[in-house]
Amino acid sequence: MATLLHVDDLSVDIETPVGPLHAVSKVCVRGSSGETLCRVGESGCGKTMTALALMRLLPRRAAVRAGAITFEGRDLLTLSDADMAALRGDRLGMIFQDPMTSLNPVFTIGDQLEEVYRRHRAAGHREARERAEYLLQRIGIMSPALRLSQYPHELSGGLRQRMMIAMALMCGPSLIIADEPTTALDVTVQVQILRLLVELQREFRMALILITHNLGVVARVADQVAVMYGGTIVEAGRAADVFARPTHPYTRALLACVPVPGRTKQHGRLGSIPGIVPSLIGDVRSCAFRNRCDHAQPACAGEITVHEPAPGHAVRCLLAATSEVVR
Amino acid sequence: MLRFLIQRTVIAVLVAVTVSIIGFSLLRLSGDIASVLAGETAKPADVARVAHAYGLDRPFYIQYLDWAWHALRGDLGQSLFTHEPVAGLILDRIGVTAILAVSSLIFALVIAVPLGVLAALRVNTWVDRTALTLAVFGQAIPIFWFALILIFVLGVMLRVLPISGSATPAHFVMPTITLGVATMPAFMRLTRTGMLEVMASDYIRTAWAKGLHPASVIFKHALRNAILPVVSLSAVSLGFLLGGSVIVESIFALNGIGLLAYNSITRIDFPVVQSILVFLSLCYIALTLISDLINARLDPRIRL
Amino acid sequence: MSAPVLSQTGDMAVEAREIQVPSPRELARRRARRHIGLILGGAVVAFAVFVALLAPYLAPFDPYDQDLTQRLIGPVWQDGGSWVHPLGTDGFGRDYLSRLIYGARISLLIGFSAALIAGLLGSTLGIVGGYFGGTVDAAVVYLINVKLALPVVLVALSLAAIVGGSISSLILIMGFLTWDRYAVVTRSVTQQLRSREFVLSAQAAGASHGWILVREILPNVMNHIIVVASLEIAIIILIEAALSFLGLGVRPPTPSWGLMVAEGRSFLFFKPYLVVIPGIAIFLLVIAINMAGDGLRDVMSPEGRE
Repeated sequence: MATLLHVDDLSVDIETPVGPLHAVSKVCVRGSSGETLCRVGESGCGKTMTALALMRLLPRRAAVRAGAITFEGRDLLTLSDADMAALRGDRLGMIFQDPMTSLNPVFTIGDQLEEVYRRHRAAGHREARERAEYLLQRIGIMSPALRLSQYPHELSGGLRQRMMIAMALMCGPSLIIADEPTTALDVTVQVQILRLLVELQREFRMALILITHNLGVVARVADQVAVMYGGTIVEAGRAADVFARPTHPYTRALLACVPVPGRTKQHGRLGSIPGIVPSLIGDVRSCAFRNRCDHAQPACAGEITVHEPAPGHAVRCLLAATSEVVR
Repeated sequence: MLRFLIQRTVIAVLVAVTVSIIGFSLLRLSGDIASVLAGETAKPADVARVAHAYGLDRPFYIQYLDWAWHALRGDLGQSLFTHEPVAGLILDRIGVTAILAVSSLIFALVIAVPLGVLAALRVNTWVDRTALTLAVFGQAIPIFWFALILIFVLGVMLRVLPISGSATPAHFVMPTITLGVATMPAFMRLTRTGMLEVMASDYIRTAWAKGLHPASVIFKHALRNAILPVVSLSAVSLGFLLGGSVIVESIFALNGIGLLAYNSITRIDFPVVQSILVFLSLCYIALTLISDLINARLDPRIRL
Repeated sequence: MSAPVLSQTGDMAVEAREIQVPSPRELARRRARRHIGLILGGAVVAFAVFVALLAPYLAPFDPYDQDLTQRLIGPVWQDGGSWVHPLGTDGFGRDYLSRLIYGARISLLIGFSAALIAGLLGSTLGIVGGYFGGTVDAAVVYLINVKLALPVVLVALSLAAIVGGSISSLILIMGFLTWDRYAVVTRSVTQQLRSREFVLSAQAAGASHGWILVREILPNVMNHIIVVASLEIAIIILIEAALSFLGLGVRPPTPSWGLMVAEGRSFLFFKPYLVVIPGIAIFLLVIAINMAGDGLRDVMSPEGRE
């Protein structure tokens, strides 16, 4: 299991009239082939921004800085625009949240699937079409030829998302980033899509970064988990570890809020986290969660270091430094 | 598809009939036409005879139905001035007006669309501001004044173009520029707005994520969506250009429908005027219908 | 609105960083203050209105006063010009500056009055159609389509030829020929508003249609009407100038800028200032109105300039 993606100290700052908005701060990512890494957090915590920054899909207004972003040995930070575009869609695939708005309404599905392949493989129309039909069949879509000639608005939500997945797979990427792929779909369809993603990941031996705010999804599919809050990662590690021994107060609060299969006892009470997400404008060295944290201390207003209560399990919290595990 | 066509045709016919009634009654508002026709020195008996000869003493609806009946068979009456058949007069001159309208539209589009795309891609830069300023100027400039300035500069001072008549293509250059400059701003803004919206859409983000070439993203994916309203507006604009060319035609002495209408209006030659009004309205109605059809053809989301 | 200050249990009170978010009206006012187009355009329009209102005091001469001994004197910057007639004189020896000033009256008077009529007519139709829907709306759509099918300039010319070119006739003619955009916009906005909660709740509370129309719908449509009006005024001014140029608008000797261009046309090659000056006046006034109108639209709904 080679480390495909290596991101160190990624930050994204956006200029606003009232000061720079630190959308993402000090994020580190390790993606390995065959592994599913889930990134969890509330809306606005920076999880999508991180993915877009990685793919260099952010507009120029957003200043992206990082210690390193390496993918398959290549330094993505210094790559030219043309070289980066060559990687996108070919080695790096991305699946977006809303399949209705993410597909071009005036072109057929077939057209949109084929053009990725033709762009990156200099292939002809027939070759691309065969590849598309093959993929649709692997994904379990009946009558692929018919579907390819249809327009996005003629398909159901679940079907559209499958098309998005097929589109991301056309060139056989080694890494797929899926940004909340099931959020816009019906609950019954969500499970199918998730299962499909995991199956395909195993079969094609890709690395999968799954962004979601749904802990249930994480529990189901994640190998590694990274919990984000306020633009930075507050806890990360193997999913089993993080779920069994959640250390950061936010992670613990999150888990208490949501029924998680295998964890939540019957008749247990679900919690809630009082307060709101603070502004990310201005100084963000301190802990962003401290105004909602039951265990906040004066030191939390200073620099927060990362601690590892267990190997491979990292927590950005001063409390993790103490040997006593917070209950 | 059929239902749509039938629906639209019914509405179109309704509107056309209303317009023809309006056109028909418009000139009968001018008071006693019979006296005007009979002349200043006519006696009441003469006026009555003229009225009877032209059927002006019949009830209004009879006059209208009579006219409509003839019109549907191609007989639009005769010019009171030259006694030529009106239909013939219109047919003779429609070519000039059509050429002017089409070339003005093309001129406007050729400038507006690339400019709009460029402005959208370089939004809020000097390129964008220049494009918007040009649009503002184009919308504000009085057509008749611009025509005169063009005549003065290009026709008289520099002597590069002929200033009146419609004999050669060169005769159409200044009129086309005049109308084109006035038509261009709306299309430029429409393209710009459309591109801005489309470039910010999710499916364009997908296109970038697929690693497609920038040219492909902008022209294949984005413009294809942004151009839809421009196409609709083109058809409608053509209708406006056909009807609004009177100023340009009279200044440049182009023998088109506009000039014919203007002359007929000043002479109160009502058969000609009302026929032209109805004809132009029908053209406009037909063009909006065509515009809808083109739109449905280009946008797969519209089912007919 | 600012984020609440939270206090924690025990000894620590932590202040959440406050973000001040002003009300929409205040935001609009702030944008207005910084919007160059609105300020510049508004200033020029205000200036034009000022000049038009105070014309009798500002014009150095009577615009109708002919003096055939003073014909075709150029403006002050040309040979033979002087500050007596800063913009020169026309073919009848009338002072051009004075005619220009009085011409502003004509343009603005016709522009605003016709826009008022068109606005009232069009908005009423649009709001009524959009609100009641059904047959009423079908009738409104039909009327709009009929109006759109008419070639405006030609109909205006015909009507002006028949009823004469008095100011009041021109105002009425243009008012009745330019109401369509008001109707289209207000109809569309009203349709959207009709299904919004505040209308539904007013209906649930038993309010009459009239009450809802005036108290709930109208204030929300007003913004759009103003924006449309500001742009339509410019269009009316241009049409009036064109009509006067063609000889069927304002009749001589009344000073209309379009008429001044027409009268100066025969001297175009030797005395171009006669044509250039009134044309520039029309151009600048229309630009100013358009800029102010665009500015109003930007300020009231800044999503995407246009």
